[in-house]
Amino acid sequence: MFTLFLRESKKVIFSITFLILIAAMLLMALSQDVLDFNDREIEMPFSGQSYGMQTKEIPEIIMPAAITSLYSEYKANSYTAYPIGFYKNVRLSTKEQQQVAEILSMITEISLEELVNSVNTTTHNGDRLIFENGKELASDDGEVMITMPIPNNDSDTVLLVKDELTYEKFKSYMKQVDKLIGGGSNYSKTMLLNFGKVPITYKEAIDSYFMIKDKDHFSGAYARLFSDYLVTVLSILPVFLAITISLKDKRNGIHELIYTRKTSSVKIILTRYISIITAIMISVIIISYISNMSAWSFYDGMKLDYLAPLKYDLGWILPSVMISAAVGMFFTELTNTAIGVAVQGLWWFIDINTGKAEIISGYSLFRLSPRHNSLQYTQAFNDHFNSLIVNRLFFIVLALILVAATILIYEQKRRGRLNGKFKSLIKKTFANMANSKSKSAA
Amino acid sequence: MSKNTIIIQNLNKFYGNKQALFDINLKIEKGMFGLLGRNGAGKTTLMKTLATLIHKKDGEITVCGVAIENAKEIRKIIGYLPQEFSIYPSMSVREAMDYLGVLSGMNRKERKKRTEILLNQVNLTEHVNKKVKALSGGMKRRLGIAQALLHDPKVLIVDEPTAGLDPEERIHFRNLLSEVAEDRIVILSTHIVGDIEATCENIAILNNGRLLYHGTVDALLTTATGKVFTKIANKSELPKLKKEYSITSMLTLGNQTHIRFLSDSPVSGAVECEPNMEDAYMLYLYHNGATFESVGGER
Repeated sequence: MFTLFLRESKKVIFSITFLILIAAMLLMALSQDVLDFNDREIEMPFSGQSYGMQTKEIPEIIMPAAITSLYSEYKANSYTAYPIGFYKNVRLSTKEQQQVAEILSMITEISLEELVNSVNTTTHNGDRLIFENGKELASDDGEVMITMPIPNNDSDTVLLVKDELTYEKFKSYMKQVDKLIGGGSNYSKTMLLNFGKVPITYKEAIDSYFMIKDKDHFSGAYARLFSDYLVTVLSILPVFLAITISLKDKRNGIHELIYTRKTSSVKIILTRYISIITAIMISVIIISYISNMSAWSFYDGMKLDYLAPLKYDLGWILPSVMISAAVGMFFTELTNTAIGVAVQGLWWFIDINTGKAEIISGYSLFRLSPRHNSLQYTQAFNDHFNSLIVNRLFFIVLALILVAATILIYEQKRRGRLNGKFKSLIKKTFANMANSKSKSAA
Repeated sequence: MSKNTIIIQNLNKFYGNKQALFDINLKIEKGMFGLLGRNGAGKTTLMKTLATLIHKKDGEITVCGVAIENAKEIRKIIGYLPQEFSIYPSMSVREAMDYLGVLSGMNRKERKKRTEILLNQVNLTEHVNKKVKALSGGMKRRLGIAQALLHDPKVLIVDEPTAGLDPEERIHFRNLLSEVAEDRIVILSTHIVGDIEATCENIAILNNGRLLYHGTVDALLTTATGKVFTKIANKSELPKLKKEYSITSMLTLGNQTHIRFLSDSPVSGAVECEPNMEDAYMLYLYHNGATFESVGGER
């Protein structure tokens, strides 16, 4: 099997598609500044500086901020949404607007009538919204004081969150609003958290630093960020390589010659699959070490995890490479066409765009490209680590199922079954679609 | 006996609703076996079925005692040269042989030894480092035979191997096949009668998916004895002769034309002659429902 593996690897490595894949990886790493971390040292914070902002699930902050936003969007009847990751401005019908108004009236002290009227009236101060006068909110450690604005005059609309409104109830109302907007709005489960913006405290900043130092040993944080970017391209590019390799036999008219050889279908398909994965992963490992090593000099005398790039390459990137290549091989063998590009491309496109909502610790089960778009947040990574493991294992298993299915299809084709059936089915489908289009146009 | 024989019984093959092979019964023994038929006769379908590339609808096939359903075992004992032989163009001759040897499960030593022997046999030794894309059509076909024999198969299946080759290459190729047929079954499928005539003792004729003839070349020739005639005719006689008889060849010399034609009964002024394979084949097709024009003759 090893000899065949070497022969197949040679075919992979010397293909133009593979060279393009390497170039695309390098381009991605370069453009996102993760090939060389020269100017991105993680320094220990000192007291008194600004440590940036973070999102936290603090109901007292999220609820008024979300209601402010909703009221503003309601008045303009202009809602922002990202249903599949792309910006969409949604305009609701009168009935839907009425439903939003009802929800707003249920969560604030403003009556439904006042809300409906407010759509058509504009105060001289515009849409200025004010919450409970002078209410102060504090974060857990008591360091952050958030003072809500005070109304300047009587014309300001004062939105008071109902005292009896629980956070759970509030979330369920927001869910209804999100549904009315069509999903992907600012009030969806994931986006709602973005209203909880609070400054990072010194304690948090120092804790974060020590998490990176003690848990990631610095190199882990760099490897994670590198993986975050690379996995986005490596969730799609391997499909091209897999299709190129799978179609090569047919294009060169050698498939029948191979079909009649003694080697089993299991061996042929597995060897090809492994050689594709190996070629890609060796390149990934090399590039990831080049990237990671660029940061090592920052931490002279400190403990580094020299295996971190390898761990992230294999744990984070490999499953995405596996599934992408498996989809390519499966659909190519099934249809004798490059339709796998369309399938994987569509999946990838939706995943990347929906993934924008969770770029830190975005490890939901079906997330093709897990995201952690920061050198920070080691704690969040650790908190969601199990989800990441489940996600990655899910894709490995799915990839192996597709490879097994590819082997079955390949063996059937060797015996003269299935050949071209799906290709003609696809052709028929497209022909029917074209016919129905031209009919409807006529 | 079945260890060196291919037995085909009641073989039927359908492509959708269209039947490609009708109840084929054949017994093929060691040596060269010719499968003759027009394009579309079903030769390739039969060859591919034997090579496990096509799934049969019903009937039974055993190849050297192994049922065709046991594809894994069949693949060990057959060598196949498809009608359109090609291989990765960027590979050298040696690399191509090595790659296919690996796929045949051969170890390095075996691959090296067999590649040397076979490339020498097919006169490609000096082209061993040449890229496949740089080979001529004839060289490619010879490489095709070499790769098919790489794992020393008991059965060699060769589909239309001489199509497109120049006469010299064709003769060389036929001789090569005859050599390798000494210790194995070689099935040669072709629509070129000359290839069969020069190499095969046993043949089968397929037409429209049906087996028309199965037997020796001599027996086929016997069926045409007394039915082939030659005549030297004037140009003015030609239209009448063409109308009445099936002409298999014409040679014009000045005002006179030497014609060779088929007739079930003697013709005055014509001389009976020894039938050749082409005469016998065309007569056989004609007697079995094919129009004379459709098999290439003139009428």
